[in-house]
Amino acid sequence: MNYKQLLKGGLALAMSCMMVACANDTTATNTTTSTSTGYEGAGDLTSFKLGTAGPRTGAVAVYGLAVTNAARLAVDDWNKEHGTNIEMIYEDTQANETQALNIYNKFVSDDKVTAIIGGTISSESIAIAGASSDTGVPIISPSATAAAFTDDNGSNVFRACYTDPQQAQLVADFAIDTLGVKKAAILYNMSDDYSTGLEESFKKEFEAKGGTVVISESYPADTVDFRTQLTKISGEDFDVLFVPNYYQDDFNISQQARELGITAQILGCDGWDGVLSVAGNNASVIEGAIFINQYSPDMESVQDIMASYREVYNEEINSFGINAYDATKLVLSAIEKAGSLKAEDINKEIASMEYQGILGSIKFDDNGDPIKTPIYVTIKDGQYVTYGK
Amino acid sequence: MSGVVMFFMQIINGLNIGSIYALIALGYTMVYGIAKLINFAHGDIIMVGAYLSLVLLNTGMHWSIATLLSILGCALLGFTMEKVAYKPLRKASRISLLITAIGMSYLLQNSFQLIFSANPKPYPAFINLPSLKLGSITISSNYYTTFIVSVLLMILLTLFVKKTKMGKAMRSVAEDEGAARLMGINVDHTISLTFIIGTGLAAVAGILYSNCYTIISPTMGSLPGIKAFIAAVLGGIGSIPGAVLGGFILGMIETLVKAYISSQLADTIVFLILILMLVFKPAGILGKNVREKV
Repeated sequence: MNYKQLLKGGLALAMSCMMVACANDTTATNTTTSTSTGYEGAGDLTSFKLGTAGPRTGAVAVYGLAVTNAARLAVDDWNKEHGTNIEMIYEDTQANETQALNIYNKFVSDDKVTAIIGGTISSESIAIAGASSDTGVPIISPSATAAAFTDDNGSNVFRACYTDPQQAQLVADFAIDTLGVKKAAILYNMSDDYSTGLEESFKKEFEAKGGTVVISESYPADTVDFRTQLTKISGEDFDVLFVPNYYQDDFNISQQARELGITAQILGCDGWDGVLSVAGNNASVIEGAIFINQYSPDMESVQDIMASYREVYNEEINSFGINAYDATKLVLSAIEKAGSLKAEDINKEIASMEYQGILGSIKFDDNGDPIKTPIYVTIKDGQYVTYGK
Repeated sequence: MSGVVMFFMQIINGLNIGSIYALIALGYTMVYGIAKLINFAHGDIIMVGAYLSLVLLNTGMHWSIATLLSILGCALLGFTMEKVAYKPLRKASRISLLITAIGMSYLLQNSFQLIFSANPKPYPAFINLPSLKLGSITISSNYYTTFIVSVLLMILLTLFVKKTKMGKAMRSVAEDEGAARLMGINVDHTISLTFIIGTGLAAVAGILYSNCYTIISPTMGSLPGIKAFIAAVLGGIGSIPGAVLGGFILGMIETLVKAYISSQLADTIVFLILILMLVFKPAGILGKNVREKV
């Protein structure tokens, strides 16, 4: 063995030692049980700090900007209404989990925030929630849909949006109870977790309620031509076509389905939000489609926030922002009701309260997932309209 | 719906996808045949053509003028691209050219993302001819326009290459660049012309594609570009009728596999066919097996 080999061997050994050390490190933090640590935010009931985080730069900045901006707006509005002096600190996670952890540490050790609104996307939110067991600071994400976010974490972690299985279940219930249909066809994206998850839950719930899924077809990522699958689907007898994908696919599928003479009611989930942005002058093909969403732009209760967001940020708010606004006010009223900045007291208050926000009533189950009024949106004359209105 | 009607509907679906692949493959094969370069940026020229025509249509311009200007715009881009990125490397190894082409592809995609953002945009489709009815089967206007245009362009291109003086120059450059130069043929002009025609064809493909799917985005060209490349190899890269034939065969296989075997397996089978083709008949269906002269 010459010196080069020795050097290599040594380096490899050093590296594996480091890895083992790191691995030990993570298990150590994970096994810390969440006991009451007595964490308390700095300040008093009229002037304390909240934190919000999300990707404000990069490819998914559109979500993080909406969440953090709307959360700030909610605190400003609250201060005006209640004469308080609460501060909202906002940070950019860059959709990066390490960055999100740094921000969490800054929030709880430097800023001593009372509660955190965030993260925005699922992965960073899971990272923050995982670290939060040592303080138990209240965390509410307006947009993390991954089941693990609340499932794997303690009683201080809540979310204000539906999980993916919840959405699909609600749509299946809606099809059977409200539309009174019995037979469904599905066309979903097999290479996307969001889409396959929705397909699975929809099918389960629809069949549990006595309906039949007569055909379920799939397609790989980046498909734009769905005519082969739709031709196959058109040979079956069904009442609704469930299309659980993101809006670009949803639009192409609807367009090609109508072209092939499929007239069945089209149903979808919140991935449909934004579909009008790609419809242009062809919106007639999605006319009448119904999807579940966090809000509908024609709801009276959201008009004020839509207008003030436009005024302050010179941009249209989206469903992430609306939900963040509502969640922030929920946390603020929980703190007010609890009359304390202690994490423990606030968590108890959030878990037991039924909050009446701009999106209707919301409360939480034992897992920290929301139980709230589902909102169904339909497309009418090229506009998003609340279904049944 | 009876099985026979369903089968015919699927055949028509296959012809439709096939004609789009064929149209894109024409440009690939043209450039490869003459300049011996696999222009990986070809798929992105389709995207450029689509965006150019979108911008022009949004100014309220008539579709015919908008289409013509988009074709000219793309041709100009092709000309510049060849002069700036490919010509200086003509004497370099084949691999450097290939890498430059991939770089070109990323450059186009990312600069269009910067200008138009990554969000997809609606395209105002303008082909609104009446649909064709054959018994219980309806064929929409997009289907037959794409089909007619791709076959027509194939015939025109073949005639151009076979019958005109410029075409003769192209064939001789393809055969032996050095000898062509000695015979007084302006090789630079000939290669430039090839690029102009190839990118012009890509613009046509982009516009027909956008009419068919009505949503465009900066990355829209990459997947059809790869599929069309497979079509060109399948038909025999360098051969003009081969590209069209390859496109139709590919579209048909894809559709029939999705319809009668499994949607999940469609791409697997398409790429498997490509591999088998390369193993057993590397020159493609209509390609000539030319021995390298030593």
